[in-house]
Amino acid sequence: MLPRTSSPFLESQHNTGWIMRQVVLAAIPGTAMTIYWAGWGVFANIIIASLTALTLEAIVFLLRRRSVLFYLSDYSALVTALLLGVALPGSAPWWIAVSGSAFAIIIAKHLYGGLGYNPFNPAMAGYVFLLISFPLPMTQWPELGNVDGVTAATPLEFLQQNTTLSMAELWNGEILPFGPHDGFAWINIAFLLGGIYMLARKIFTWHAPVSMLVTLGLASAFFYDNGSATSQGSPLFHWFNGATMLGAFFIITEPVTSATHPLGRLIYGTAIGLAVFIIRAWGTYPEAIAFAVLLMNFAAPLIDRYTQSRVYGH
Amino acid sequence: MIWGSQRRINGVPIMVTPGIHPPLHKDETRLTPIRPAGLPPRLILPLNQYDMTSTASQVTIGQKVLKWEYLATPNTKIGLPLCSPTSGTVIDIVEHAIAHPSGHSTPCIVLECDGEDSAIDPTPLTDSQQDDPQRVIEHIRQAGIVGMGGAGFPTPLKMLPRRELDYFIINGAECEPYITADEALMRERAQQIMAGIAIVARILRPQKIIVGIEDNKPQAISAMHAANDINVEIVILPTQYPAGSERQIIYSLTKREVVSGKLPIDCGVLCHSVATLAAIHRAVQLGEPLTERIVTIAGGTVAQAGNYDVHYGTPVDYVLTVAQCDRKRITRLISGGAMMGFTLHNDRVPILKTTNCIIAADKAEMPAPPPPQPCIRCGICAEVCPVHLSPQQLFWYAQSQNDEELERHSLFDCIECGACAYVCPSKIPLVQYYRAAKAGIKRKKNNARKAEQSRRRFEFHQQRIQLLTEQRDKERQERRRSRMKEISSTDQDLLTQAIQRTQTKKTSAERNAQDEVCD
Repeated sequence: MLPRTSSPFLESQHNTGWIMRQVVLAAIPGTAMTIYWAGWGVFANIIIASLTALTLEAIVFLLRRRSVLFYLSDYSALVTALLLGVALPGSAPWWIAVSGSAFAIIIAKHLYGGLGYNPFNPAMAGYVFLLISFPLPMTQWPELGNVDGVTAATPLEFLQQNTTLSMAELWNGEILPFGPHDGFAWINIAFLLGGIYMLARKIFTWHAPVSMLVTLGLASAFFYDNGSATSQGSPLFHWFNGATMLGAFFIITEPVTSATHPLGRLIYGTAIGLAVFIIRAWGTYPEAIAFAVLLMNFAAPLIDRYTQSRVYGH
Repeated sequence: MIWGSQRRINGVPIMVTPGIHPPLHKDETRLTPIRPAGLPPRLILPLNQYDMTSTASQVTIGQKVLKWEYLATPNTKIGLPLCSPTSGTVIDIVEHAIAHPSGHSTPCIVLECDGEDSAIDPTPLTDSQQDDPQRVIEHIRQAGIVGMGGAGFPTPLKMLPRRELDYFIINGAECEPYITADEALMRERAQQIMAGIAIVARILRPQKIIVGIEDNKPQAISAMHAANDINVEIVILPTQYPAGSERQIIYSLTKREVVSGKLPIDCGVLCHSVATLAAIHRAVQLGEPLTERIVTIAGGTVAQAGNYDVHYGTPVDYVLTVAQCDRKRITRLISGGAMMGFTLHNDRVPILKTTNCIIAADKAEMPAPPPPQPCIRCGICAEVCPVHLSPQQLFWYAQSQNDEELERHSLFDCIECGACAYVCPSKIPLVQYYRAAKAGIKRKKNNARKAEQSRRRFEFHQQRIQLLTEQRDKERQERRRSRMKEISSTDQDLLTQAIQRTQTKKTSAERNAQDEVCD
């Protein structure tokens, strides 16, 4: 008797673990740049978050009586921990990374059924959980490039609080100084490079990131107001500040919680870009990626429902 | 909305549906000449090849038959007869497993070959007879020709002119990995294909005739060009799976979409595979019924991989022996291609008219499928679906058996090509889910239909019984009424007579009683 299986009998070389490893690989430049500018505290956060995530994932699979090694080999917990850890302030105490990672893995991921069934991006759910629960340590970023751990307002916070200075005055005559002291710009450039790498390897399609960045650029251009004191910042400012590129290429491209069709991804990206700008400009929190993503995670199934492709012959 | 994407082949633009580029494994078999597989000691000839074409045996055990003699005649009007592939003796008519995904058994004629291969006289049609569509179609029917590309749909049914034919498409794409049977046919027997095209074109008079061949078959393309004495258009398709699927090749060559649930002929297109056309030529112009076909024997365990002329009914194990297969190393034995074929669990099943390929794969080639991981909705499956379905949504609904959503997401338009399952990074056997879901829905619908039928039958039965009772009651009442009338009409006479009778009876009885007392 020969084995009976169902066609097709060929399979492509790539598997889920390969995709996740590519994401980790693509995140290395941005992570390294973040550590360079924000200090080793970020590195510690990433390590703590990863260890917590992998341990808890293993425990959950033990409880669910699944093969621990087989499921850990999909690397999804590691990606979640990495994206959460890199978004945490380097000065945050260790339990911030632990509790955020635990929330992401246990509540946001496994209580919904594990990988593939989570309606919300686990890393962003963990981040927002921390931001709401522990606002103080979560909003105190050490000044980039200053290893002494002096906290300072981020450019996004600066802009949000600013009501008197024009853009030119705010940035000493430069709209966005890509100089050696602009850590956020370098971090964003590094994440952008990682994003381009993943696009080239076809890890995801261009639709969501491009539509998000274009919308963010258009919205900021519309409210730029020639750089006056009421300006909400230029497109360049918004593209290369905060977690824009991390969000555009590493967060909103997360497939489980986003729309699946090209048109749906365009809508999804556009809505996130718009939400990011609205929250940054008029919201209470200076950084908006996490909220915008969670908001659109809600909408993804609905978008999917109304963006089905026309099937051949219909 | 433009559907599909445009490619350029030698500068010529062509629209193609989405697809994949799997490893083709064709080099092992494509350049070897077609070899005869020879006659096995016994042929196994199924009486029920396909659902539509069951046949009734015309021979008895022990009977000697000649090649091309009828062994069985169709049970239905649309069925095809069964011709003997060689001469020999019928030694049994018995249930035997056949090459079918379910591995089920069906009655088969077992023919012991005498090795002489002596045939009855062939009956070709004369040139003038080939002008008569009915005659040609009937000849094709008598030759037992079915679509040789895969599904085995009876060819005569496809030939009935239902409407004006705009396009006649000849499918030489052969996009499935491993299979090179059509390529070998085009390379070596292009004239037969062209003659077949001419026969069909003569009776159906299409506006345009287009042959589609994938660009990875340069020798076949040049052979077809060389044999092209009837000036058909030969279009080169980009190599991509599933470029040769019927609806996909029609789209590429005509830019027409076959409407869901309809046949190609409904949009003015007829599509035949090159192998079917060669068979039509041999039936009509040489008078030979379809009793053999080219089969690609491939796979890592086969030393003499290549294309073989195999008699219909030849057991697979015989062909594997001819191709010097190391049968102990087989991990999977597949009938058909690596994307859409099905596994055989037993190598004694016969080669059918639709068996274009046998893959005897070893462990390195086709290891056991890895356990599936959860779907991460990456959507790569949707990018490669040639029908533009959303495989990840279908999978979701198939798991939850949400029939309504499955149909809303066009489950039944799935051609089961396997492109989605091939690219799936989580290694989910998607097609298997769709097949199971389709079967489930069909079964449910069937059950619902049956329930509805029996409900109607029951209601009708009740109604009829009610009508009958009402009628019977009515008749009874009428009868009673008429009897009453009769009674009343025959006067009091009868009544008085009866009274008198009883009175006389009474008095005589009294008298008797008195007599007794006196005694």
